[in-house]
Order: sequence, then C-alpha cells, then structure tokens
Amino acid sequence: MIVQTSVMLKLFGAVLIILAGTAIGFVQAASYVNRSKQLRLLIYSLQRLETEINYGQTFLPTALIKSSEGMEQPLSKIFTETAQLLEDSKELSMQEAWQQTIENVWGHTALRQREKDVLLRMGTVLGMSDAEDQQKHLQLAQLQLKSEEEQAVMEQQRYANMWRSLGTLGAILIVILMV
Amino acid sequence: MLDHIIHILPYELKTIVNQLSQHIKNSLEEIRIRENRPLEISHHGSFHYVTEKGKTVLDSRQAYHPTQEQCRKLLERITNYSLYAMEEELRRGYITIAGGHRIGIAGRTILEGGHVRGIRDIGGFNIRIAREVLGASKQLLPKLFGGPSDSLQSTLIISPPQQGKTTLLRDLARALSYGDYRKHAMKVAIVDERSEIAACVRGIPSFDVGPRTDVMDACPKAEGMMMLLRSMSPEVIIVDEIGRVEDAVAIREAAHCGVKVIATAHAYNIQEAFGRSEIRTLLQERAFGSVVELKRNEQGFMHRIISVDRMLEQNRQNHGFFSLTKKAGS
Repeated sequence: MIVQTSVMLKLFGAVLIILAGTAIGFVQAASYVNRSKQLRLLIYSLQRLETEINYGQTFLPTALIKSSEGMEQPLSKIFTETAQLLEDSKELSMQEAWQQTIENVWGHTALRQREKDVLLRMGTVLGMSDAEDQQKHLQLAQLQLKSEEEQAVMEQQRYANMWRSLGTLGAILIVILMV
Repeated sequence: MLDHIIHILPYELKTIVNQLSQHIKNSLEEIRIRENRPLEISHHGSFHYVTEKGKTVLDSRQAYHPTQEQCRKLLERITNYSLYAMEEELRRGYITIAGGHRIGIAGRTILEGGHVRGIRDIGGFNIRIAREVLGASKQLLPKLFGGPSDSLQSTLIISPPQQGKTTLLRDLARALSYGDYRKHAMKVAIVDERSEIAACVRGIPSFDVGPRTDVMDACPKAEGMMMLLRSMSPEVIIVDEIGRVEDAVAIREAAHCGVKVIATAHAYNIQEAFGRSEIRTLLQERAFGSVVELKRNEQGFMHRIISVDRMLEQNRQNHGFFSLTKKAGS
C-alpha cells in the first residue's frame, strides 16, 4: 500500500516536471515567434505613420493613433500612450513623451534593445522637420527594423522548434536522472 | 482671452505670464520670445522686458531669458508637434493658433530655387494677441445702408495701420451674416489673404464671423474674390487691403454681378487714398457707394462717412481737389 503510494507520487512528480519543462520550452519558442511578428507589425505601423505624415499631413497625435490601429496591445500602446501624453500633460516634449512611453511598454513586448534604439533615435526627430525629412527618417527606421525582422525570422526557424522539443526532452532527462 | 496663449506656453513662461498684473494682461498686445535673449512684452503701445517674477522692467539684463529647450517646446506646441504639416505657414512666416492669435516666427530660411521654402532653426517668436470686439461695427452698420434702393452699399474703409480696420471688418461680417441690422441675414464671403479677419485654423474660422459666412483662407485677394463669386453666390464680399490692379478687376466683376464689396485700404485720409490710381479709378467708376475714414481713440472707433457721389460732384465743381463733406461722426 505504502509502496504503491510512493510510486504514484513519483509518477505525479515526473508528469509535473515534464509539463513544466514543455511549458518553458513553448514560452521560449513563443518569444521568438512573437518577436518577429511584433517587428512585422511595427514596420507596418511605421509605414502607415509615414503615409499619414507625408501625404495626409495629419497632426502627429492623430497620426500616431491612426497608425496604432491594427496593432496588438502591448505594441499599440507605444503610439496611443504617446499621443495621450502629448494631448494631456502639455509639459513634455515629443521626445520625452516618446521615450517615457517606450520605457514603460518595452518590458511587455518581445522586442530587444536594438529595436528600442531604432525607435528612440526616430523619436528625436519625429514631427519636427519638413515632410521630406520625416519620410527619410521613417524609412530609415523601417529599413533597420526590417533587417532585425529578417534576423528574427531566421532565429525563429532555428530556435523555436528547438526550444519546443528541448523543453520536453530536457524534462524527460531530468526525470530519468531522478529515477 | 489669454487662455489659448497660456495653453501653448512652456511651464516656465506660463508661470511668468500668469504673474503679470491684471492691468497688463488686459491690454497685452504682443509677447516676444527670443532664444537666450530677454523676454519682451508690449502693451498700451509701449514695450517692457519681463523678469522671472513677472515684473515689467526696462533694463534688459534683469529680464528672463527663455532657453533653447523652452523655445523648442513652444514650437512643438504651436505646430501641434507637426512641423511637417505647417509648410505653407512657415513659408508665410506665421502660424495662426486657436483663438485667432498669430505667432510670427523668425529663423534661418530654407531656399529652393531662390524662393523661401520654409524656416528652420527657429529662434524668435512674436505672439500677437488678437482681440475680438463684438459690436465694433454697431454704430457704423446702419450708415452703410442707403442709395436709391435703400440697401447695403459697397464701401471702402480707409485708415492708417493699427487703427482697428480688421477688427471692424470682422465685426461687419458677423453683423451682416447674423442680420443684426434690419433682421436681414446676408450671405457673406470673406477673402482672408493674411488669415487675419477670420483667423482660420485648418479652414475653420477661429472668430465668430457669422452663420452665413464663407471664408477663402490664405488666398490671393483677386483670385479669391473671383472664386467666391463663382462658387458661393455671396451677397457681400469682404476683403482686406485692396490696391493692386487685379483687385480692381475683381471688384468691378463683383459690381457687375450685383454683389456688394466691403474693402479696406491703407491710407491716412481720403485725399491720400484718392492719390492711389487704382483706388481713384474705382471711386470714379462708382464701384463704391461710400467711403469710411476710420480713426481709433480712447473711446473707441471714430469714423466719418463720405458719399462717393457727393465727393465726385464737389470734386467736379471745384475743378480739382474736393473738399470733404462731413456726414456723420461718432
């Protein structure tokens, strides 16, 4: 009876470990998938912003909100919150508002430091030059993000599946070692 | 009145302007902000520097010096963080903000083919406070009606600068459009070449120019008058600062269509206006029914109205320069 219970417990523990290992693997894999997806969305929204600024001559706060449409939560916040800050406080400069929002939101995204630098650099000139110049800066940012995206897709192909199997296999290894 | 201006000022400048005495605030005409140079205001026709505590002084060294960062923030707010959307305004050298206030800007210009395309490195702002005087035209308005059909007559308003021509013109547009006099609301069209009369922000007038008023903003006068004649079928066209040959052609065209024109011209008095050939021709052709001379004093507007018919009649009798007929004054 006692032996049976301990076997049951061990079995239960083993299942738990395997589940946890698999979960870790999937979360890691998802971060690769998310990163390339978010980069893609970010590029789309910068394209939209470029159109709004260059052809629509839309005021920046409105342009930011319009380009955030079609983006998902953590990322769209970069645009909507900046616009909100500009409309509300009236004490921040565009650059400060942009920086503050990015710092707040960044932790919730799957993006990395390199993309952050691209966006922050873009924030220093956003809005405050003529349309031609704005277009150049926005296109530069898109170009840089695109190369990041290509890399992200490659990493995703290479590591996402690996992490998925690695999680489960690693967990099984631990179970075997413990038995 | 100052709300819209206070709203766009960066924090430090906002505090300073708020500390100005009520007396000065009520008569503030300009706020001049120059990067790293003394903050200046003008009021009651004179100027002062302003200290950090909002005191007015004459010694520029005691004055507050706005920083580069404040100037950048000010520019961002004036342009709604969108300098790229202001290219037309930058070419003209000023931006009109909500409330009808005009902000002149100075800096380094960008040239393209010898023409100014815009301004960058903006280091100087001149905030000109616009005041809307509702009822400024109250006394004048009834006197503009007359003639054989006892209707509104085409009128030329002449005055030196800074005497309130634009304020008067704006209020005339409003009063005619609402039908304040004789309960007859007219279709009014304004050609606002310098965005002063209606102070449009993105095509929408900042001032109340009446419910039946259409505004052609930032449009050359002659062209604007012709466009409005074709497109908006106005009963009255209101236009500022006429004097060129094209303007005269457009005014004649309006007269042919039976559209009344209320226009202003820069001149100290009617003799001087008569000396300008385009205006003289227009008067001789009776394109205007009456001429109003405008002066401003402490009590308000002073005007006298001269009937063009009588003026020309007397001119003929005197075989030369006319003497003036005083018809009214208030």
